[in-house]
Amino acid sequence: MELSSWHLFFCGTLLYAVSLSLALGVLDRWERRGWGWAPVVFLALGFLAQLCGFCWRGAQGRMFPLGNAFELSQGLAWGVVALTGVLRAVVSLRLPVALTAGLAVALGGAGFANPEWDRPASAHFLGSPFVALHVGLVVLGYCLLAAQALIALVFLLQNHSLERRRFSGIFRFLPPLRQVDGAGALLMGAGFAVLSLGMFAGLLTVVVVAPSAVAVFKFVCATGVWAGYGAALFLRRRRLLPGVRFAWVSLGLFGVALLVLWPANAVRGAAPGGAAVALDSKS
Amino acid sequence: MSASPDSAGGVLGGGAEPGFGVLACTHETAELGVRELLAVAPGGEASFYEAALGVAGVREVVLLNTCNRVEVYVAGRGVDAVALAGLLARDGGLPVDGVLAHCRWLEGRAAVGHLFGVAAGVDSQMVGEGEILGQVREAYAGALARGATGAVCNRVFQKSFQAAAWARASTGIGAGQVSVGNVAVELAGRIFGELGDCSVLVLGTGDVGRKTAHAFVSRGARAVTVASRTFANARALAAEVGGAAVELAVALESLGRHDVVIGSAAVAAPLVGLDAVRGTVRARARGALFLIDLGLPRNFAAEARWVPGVYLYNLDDLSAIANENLRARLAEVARAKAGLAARADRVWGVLLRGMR
Repeated sequence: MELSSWHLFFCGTLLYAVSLSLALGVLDRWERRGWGWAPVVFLALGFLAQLCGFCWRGAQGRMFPLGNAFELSQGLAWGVVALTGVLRAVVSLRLPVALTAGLAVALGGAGFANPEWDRPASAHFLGSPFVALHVGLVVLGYCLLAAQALIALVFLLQNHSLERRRFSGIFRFLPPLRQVDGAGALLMGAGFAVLSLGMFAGLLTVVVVAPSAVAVFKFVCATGVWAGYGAALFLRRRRLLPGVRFAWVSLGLFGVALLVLWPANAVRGAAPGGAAVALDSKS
Repeated sequence: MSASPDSAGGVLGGGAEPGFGVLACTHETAELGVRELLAVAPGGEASFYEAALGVAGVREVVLLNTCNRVEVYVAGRGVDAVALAGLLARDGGLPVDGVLAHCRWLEGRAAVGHLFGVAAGVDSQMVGEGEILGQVREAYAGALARGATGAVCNRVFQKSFQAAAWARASTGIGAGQVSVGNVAVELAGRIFGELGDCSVLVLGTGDVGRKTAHAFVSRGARAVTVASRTFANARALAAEVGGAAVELAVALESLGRHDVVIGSAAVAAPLVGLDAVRGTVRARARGALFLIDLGLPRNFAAEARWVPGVYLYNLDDLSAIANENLRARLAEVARAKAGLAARADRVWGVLLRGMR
């Protein structure tokens, strides 16, 4: 069996799963014995494994390695871990490792649960810098929004903890509500801005690269998600969407965003283009 | 050398070896009234140390003098516990027998283990309280400054700080708050994070409310406003906590400006009704509102608990959390004691080898 980027991605997801199980199962006991860093280390190792997977795949295919749904799922998992690390370092927002690892496992694992997602990408699209810019921006926007959804979940858990007077288990490790609320709004703003740029780059792509490849379904889906986030931000700014509702809306929007990502990507894969680029084999 | 926990009499280091011992009067051995008599009065430490170092055989002394315990740690050879009790008896006006009856005399490994337990808080009246570690540190620093410590006390006390740090970090004896005021502050931290930016309003000047206001100030709350029907009371509490006093009616009009509202007024009906809370939340630009109801009858309408963005806790809620935390701490005591005992064994073993 030859080592491939698939194995590195698999390793990354596996390491996230180890981090999740450590964080969930024995965090309390391990932390008291000075082993609280173990889940973070496994999370970081998973992050590195995925990073190596992207480098390998990019070098092998000689193109931007976000060309199919499988790669997008890995990219989102990687981005969420990266962003939660950034939040921890920059604004001292300590999201529970269990939640970060859980989302990374879910996103990364979805790719492995659907082997058909890892089909050859169209070199016609990803060979173009415009498309690479479009895809890169959209994936970055999605990562920001995924991190924001994670924060919304943390907000709801903390709210539940305070309302129901439950403070044991994972509830002990949740960051303050006000901090989470502020970070969530900022992340959604950043995600929306990057998504807007990504959509603009997508429009440029259609105009400059492939006017015939306009996929109405993809355009409607993408615009719908973009407009949903825009509306949520507008309502939040007008104080019409207070904390709890904002968190629920964020989760709902991200769920919809994920749902439309795959059909939209499928449309792109089916669009007329040049030769498909073969991906490395997992066997 | 042996421990004699049931009797306060004994001679330290009766053999050829020097020893380490403690004469301890604690909340377990004496009532508050007796502890008050035995406590070394503020300013009396210098003469105590002078007298203690004058006791036959005493080479090193550390006096731990807190509201819950008066303990004299000594290192030396042939030290008679009765002579040490005499020092406490001298200031307290009690007969030596009376002092001994309210003290425990521990030697060697048992004395080391006792100190480790004290520093870690497992011996405290409020199990796991962190204040005692600071008090032990202060006591040791005081003795060190007076030149009353030596190789034995230095080692044992420094190791006790490490043992206490281990117990607090590696077991749950210090987890969670166990007083109503501190639980309220901890909950505020869960909602707002740092309390420096929080605005706190205290309605009424009841005792629990007063303590809670102090707890908020001690944890960094700077903007505290006090309101009471009797303005003089509000002014007095405001002066205590470094806040501002306002008329009750004015405070009730401006609830939305505050993040935390503590209700501890004596009232016949709630001061703040459901509609007032709803209106306040709607008008607020600062997100969540934390209402702490310490009054009986209640100061806030109970239904306010279900208003989105409002976190309402009454005295029962806070007490339940405090009790739950205390139970969790107690469940950890055995594990902490086992770890502390192992550390005391090691330290005492090293000391014994050094003494020989």
